[in-house]
Amino acid sequence: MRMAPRPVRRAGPVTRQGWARRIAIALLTAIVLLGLFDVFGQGAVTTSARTPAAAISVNSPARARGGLLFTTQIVVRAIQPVGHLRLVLSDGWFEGMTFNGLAPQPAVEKSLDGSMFLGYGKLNPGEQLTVWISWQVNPTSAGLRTQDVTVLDGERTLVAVHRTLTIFP
Amino acid sequence: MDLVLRMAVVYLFVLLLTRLLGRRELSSLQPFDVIFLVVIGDLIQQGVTQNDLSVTGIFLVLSTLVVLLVATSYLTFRFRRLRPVLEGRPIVLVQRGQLIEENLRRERLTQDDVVEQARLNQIESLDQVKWAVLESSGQISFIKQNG
Repeated sequence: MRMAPRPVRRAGPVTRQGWARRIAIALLTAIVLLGLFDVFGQGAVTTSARTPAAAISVNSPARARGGLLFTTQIVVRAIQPVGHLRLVLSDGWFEGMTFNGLAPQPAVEKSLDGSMFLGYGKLNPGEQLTVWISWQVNPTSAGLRTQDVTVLDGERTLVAVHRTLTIFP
Repeated sequence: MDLVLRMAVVYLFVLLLTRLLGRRELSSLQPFDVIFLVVIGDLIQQGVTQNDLSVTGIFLVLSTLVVLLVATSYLTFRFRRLRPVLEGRPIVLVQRGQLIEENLRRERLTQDDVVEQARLNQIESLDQVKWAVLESSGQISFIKQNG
């Protein structure tokens, strides 16, 4: 170690600049930890609801970032006979989002007051309908969206879930 | 969460690659090396951020990168045994004017490479060299013979 330069000694144990750097690194570490705990998205969250007539569960991210692709899974289980099953997606599902695809295709599609109505016909007790929807978040659409899903039998509401999606800039 | 994990995995992989690649290749930037590094950067970006176009994503990736760099730096500072693994060891190439062929082979260096570096350090002949050491940074340091 003869060639090593002599260490430069600081005036005190830790300078103000040293503390500022430690705080900055602590803040960056906090951002990383928040990211690991999925605070900034886009882990999927399941929201469920059940009534004597039907049950629904929606699996989709509650937080997302611009540009990200994700899939929403909606599962409806009939407890009582459903003659004209209709799924109603609130406008928050489509606002600032690119709709990539939907499976299975509904027999009827209708837009009313900003909400999207998807008609799937008959569902017997115990039967289950699973709908997959693919999305991409538009990069300029930061903010909070209400993403409700309502299950109707004709005009009668059977069950509904209330969700929100936070989109980070 | 996936963004932080992807960045951490890629960081460890790049660290492994740089250790495998050899220090000379990384320290000497020939035209091909520059293109190679740009291509690697582009491939890494695609793998880490994928189609994330958000500012939040940039904050997450850069924060993860800085935290990992600081952690690696701290580990090499705190634990002496980790230094050869993370940074590599200095390797003696010339001892009292004599080339150590085994070490040259190990680092894929030729006599011409060492002589070229000696000339760049204003050393006329390897006979004037007491020690030539390939440092962990990839640079060759020369210590001249006395007199």
